[in-house]
Amino acid sequence: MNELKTFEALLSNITPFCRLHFQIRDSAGKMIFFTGDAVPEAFPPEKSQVMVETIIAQNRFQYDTAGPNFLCGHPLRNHQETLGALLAGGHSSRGLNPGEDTPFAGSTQPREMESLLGSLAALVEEKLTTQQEIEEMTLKLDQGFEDLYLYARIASQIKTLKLSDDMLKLLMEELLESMRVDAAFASLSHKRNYKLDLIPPRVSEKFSFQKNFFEKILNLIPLNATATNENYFIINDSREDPCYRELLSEPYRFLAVRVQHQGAVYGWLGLLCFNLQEIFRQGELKLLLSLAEQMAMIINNTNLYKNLEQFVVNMVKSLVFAIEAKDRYTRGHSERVSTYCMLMGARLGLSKKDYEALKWASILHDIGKIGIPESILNKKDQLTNAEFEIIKNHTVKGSKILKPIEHLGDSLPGIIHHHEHFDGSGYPDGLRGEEIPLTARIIAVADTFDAINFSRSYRGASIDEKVIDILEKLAGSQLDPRLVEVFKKVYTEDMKSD
Amino acid sequence: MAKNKKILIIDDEAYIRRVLELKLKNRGYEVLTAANGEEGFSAIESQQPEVVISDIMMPKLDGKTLCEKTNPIKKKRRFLTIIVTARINPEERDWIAQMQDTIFMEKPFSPNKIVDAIEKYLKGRE
Repeated sequence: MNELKTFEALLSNITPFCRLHFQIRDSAGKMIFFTGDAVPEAFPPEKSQVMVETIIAQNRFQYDTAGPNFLCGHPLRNHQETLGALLAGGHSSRGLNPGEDTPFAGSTQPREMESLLGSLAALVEEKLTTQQEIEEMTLKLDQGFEDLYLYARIASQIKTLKLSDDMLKLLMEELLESMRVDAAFASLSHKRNYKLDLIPPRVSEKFSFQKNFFEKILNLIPLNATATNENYFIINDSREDPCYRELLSEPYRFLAVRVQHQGAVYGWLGLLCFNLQEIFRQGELKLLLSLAEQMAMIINNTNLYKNLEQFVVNMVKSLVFAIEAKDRYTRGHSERVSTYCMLMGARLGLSKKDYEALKWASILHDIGKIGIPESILNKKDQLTNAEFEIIKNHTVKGSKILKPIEHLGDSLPGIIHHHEHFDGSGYPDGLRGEEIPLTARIIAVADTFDAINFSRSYRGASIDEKVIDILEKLAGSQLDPRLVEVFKKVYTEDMKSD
Repeated sequence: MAKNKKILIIDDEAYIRRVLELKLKNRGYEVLTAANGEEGFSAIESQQPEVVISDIMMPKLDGKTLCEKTNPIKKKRRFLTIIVTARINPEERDWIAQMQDTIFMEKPFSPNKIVDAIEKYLKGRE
């Protein structure tokens, strides 16, 4: 509500013209500001307070008179709730009436006042809503920064790519600090040895635990089938279950993820936290799962280069999330496109090599958008030619960014050519038909579908079959007709199931 | 807690300013921002912030020159400078070490760690 100070000047300037005095108060009745001198006769404090309460409770315009004075108010809302009220008051005989000493003709009757306050309130609400949206996006970005930081730190620590005890200790240290938890530990088994070795846990100062606490809590995991998911195990509040409670007198929450890669399980990576005010976020879980997977890969794989590349690929993936955070119309787009492509690839019976190439190309197809300013990405009006050229450049730029990563070599054609049209009218090279690499044609179908589908659902229009109709119209001109058919099957048979 | 202290953020990237600004405001600090070194320098002189968070690569006045210009001010009035930089090389480490009350954070940085550093510094001064 404090952002509303900007309206103080506006309303203060209106006051001398119409002799109306304005106040903005928050939902608790606290004054944000008032215009002119405080006018006690127009705004008796108790009366104003009661009126704010009524406005909040009933969520509509209120009007009241007392002798020659009147007082009225309009709620200020955002999408979800009433945040406060805009009040106006004055002397009924003065002010807006014709023939008075102001140059304005007008009335202070309820209907006119409701209309005036309504339009002023709309202005204020727009500001409040925008402000709130910006804050929400900023907070998400803040979390993104934390995640990216953690990735970068761990990437720099895993330079030797040998999972030594020292490195694990450092990793635990990082987890402890950046995830704001009280203990971080890993328990890993080495090959052909099913006994889990506990890596010395890292704990915060306020944590005193029994020697075998971590073994005990890990032992609970397989026993408690309901809380065990495939990849992770979570206790949101240890007071819920006597099994958890008896391990530690202080209430805690606990999260452990399986250290596994391609079906091979190596152990657990766990976090414990005493702050029950917060919960483990979905994003934290995802991050931890991906860290655990990377740990598993390092254990699994002795090929140094492959690991390094995998790491770079994962770094690049986190960049994709960063780009999508910028472009509000494509959030989650790459991940969805990748899902569609994988389903299409499976139906087409691609070789393992092509399937892998498609997997990376689809998730990374928009990576070249990284340098494009937000103002262009989010522009609602038609783009200028120069701006369109910048957007078009993202295909080639993307492949340049990824070129140094040997592992992604087969994915580059799919990224460069995903905006080619089947009839040769696309970019960057104007390839036509089968000249366009298969991976690029597949991505084009999935990409087009998601763009239409998402922008429609964003606008709240009806979806479903009509999107398919549009795709069919594009078959042959923009899209490969054979692949549109494959997509239709994916859409009706594979995607409907969930 | 030592709140309503002034913190100045100098960075030419608007989204970095915005993230740090909101984070620090939510913690109760008064936050000022500047989009380049020159604006930043005049804000340091006129607003006297307790903490300055600054990028190195900036238009008009780079972070290193800014530090060199503000270092004499610190003889009279102490404040913390946090340099945020993409890559720290030995030369940078050296000149930062020469400056009074100056630390660095590598990019990508953790907003939480910046808050920790600020709170640690302000606590130490109480």
